[in-house]
Amino acid sequence: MHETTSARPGFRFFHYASPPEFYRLAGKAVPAFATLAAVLAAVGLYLGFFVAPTDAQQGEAYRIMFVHVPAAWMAMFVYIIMAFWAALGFILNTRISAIMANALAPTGASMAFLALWTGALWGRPAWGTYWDWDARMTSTLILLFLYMGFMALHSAIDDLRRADRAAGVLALVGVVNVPIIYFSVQWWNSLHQGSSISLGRAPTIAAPMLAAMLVMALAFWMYCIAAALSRARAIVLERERGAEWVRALAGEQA
Amino acid sequence: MNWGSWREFLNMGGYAGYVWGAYGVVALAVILEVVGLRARLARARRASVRGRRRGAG
Amino acid sequence: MTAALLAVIRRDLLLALRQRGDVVNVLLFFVVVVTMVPLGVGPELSVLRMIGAGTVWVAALLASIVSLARLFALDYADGSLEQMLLSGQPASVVVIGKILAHWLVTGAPITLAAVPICVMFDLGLESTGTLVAALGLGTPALSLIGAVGAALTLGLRGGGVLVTLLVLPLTVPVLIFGAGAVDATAGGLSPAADLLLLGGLSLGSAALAPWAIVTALRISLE
Repeated sequence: MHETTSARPGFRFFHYASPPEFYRLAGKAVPAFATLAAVLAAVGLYLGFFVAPTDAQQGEAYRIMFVHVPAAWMAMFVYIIMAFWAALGFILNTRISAIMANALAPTGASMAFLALWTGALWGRPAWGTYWDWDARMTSTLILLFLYMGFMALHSAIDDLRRADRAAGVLALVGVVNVPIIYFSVQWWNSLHQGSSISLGRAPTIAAPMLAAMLVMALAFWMYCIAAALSRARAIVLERERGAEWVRALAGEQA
Repeated sequence: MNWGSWREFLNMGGYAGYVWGAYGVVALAVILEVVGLRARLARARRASVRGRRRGAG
Repeated sequence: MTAALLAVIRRDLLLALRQRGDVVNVLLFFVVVVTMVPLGVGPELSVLRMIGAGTVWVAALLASIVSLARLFALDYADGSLEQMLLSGQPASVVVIGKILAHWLVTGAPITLAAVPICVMFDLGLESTGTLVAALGLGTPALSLIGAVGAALTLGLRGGGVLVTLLVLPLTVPVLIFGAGAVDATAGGLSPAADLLLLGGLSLGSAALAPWAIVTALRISLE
């Protein structure tokens, strides 16, 4: 039914590629990652609000940075991981790979949206305007479009296998394009800013600020993993409905 | 400690709207996602129970 | 292989010629969209000169994507697409042939139609020349990238809107360098960098897109 032997001793990937095994493993992993996320967030927020000093130029408004930067990083990172799972799905032809890609998309889109929202709210006090078409924000907006395109394509196709594979191709095409898009948007932005130096939003980073930001970034990362694994479990149940192991599971809990 | 009082903390040096507007939406997004996923899993489990009952009947 | 390529191109061109209406419609779409902008923005020539290149490019993007439905849909409907992929010829040759034919009846006419449009937007002779060169270099990339979207959405309901949503973000670099080239010329600088990048995008797309398109077609046809 599922492979328990593999080339590398101890590496039982294909073992966990079977839906019931994945469901079980993820079921244990989700609370662990969620707890990590919560603890790291608590530490990060404490550092960010009670240790990091006030910024000379931006006042207290800069503290938005502690959620904005992690969200932006995650938006980008999750897309890459999504494309990685899509690629794995093509290479190994495991159902789990496509499910992971689909599970990651909404979380990544949410991160992109949050990056844009928090960025706008940071921009107003720090920069004078909610939106100023700077390279990073514009690229994040396009990234959000890429996420939505992935989800739209998947939901437009009735046949699950075709949907998974088509969306997978789109994710791979997207991931190749993302650096090119980012580069071109930077080019575009620098052209139209004229000779003004690109004034970053970040204040001069003091050590506690950096620490808080990195801890929050880790917290966001752990959260994304927990959310994606949780969604993947739901997708597995939905797709495997009626299967023997699902019924057995339901029997255990009934 | 940065803040003299809770009042100061909530006021965020005058930037309360921006800071709490940002953090608030982040918290909201997290809550929505977590609640949504919990509901989705519960729904999926219930559906599989239904499947089982039909099969057992 | 060249014989097969030429055969595919010839077939598609003949088909396009027989349905001349479709081809003309794409061109009309392009011109109408471009004309909408001054109507919405006002006839102030100084403003139009600034937005002219970007407007032409956005219209070219939309016209390319809209017309791509024809690329595979007709052959898909009557089963000849499947036959072409099953025939001995390498699938990428078929795909490149179809895209080349498609570009000849959409991208190329749009590139030429840009000349009178430039007059409408009061872009000078040099800017016009740069825009034509940019369109010539960049529209192949649009056809290639758009073809990926068309292949993925073969036979789906969402229709043109879905393809547009999927493809537009991927065409952002072409848009930026295409319009940027003209802006450079207008500002007295050399458009060489932008034009080279555009050419690079088209070449890169020509190298990579066929894989994606063939894969997407096989997925859609299963």
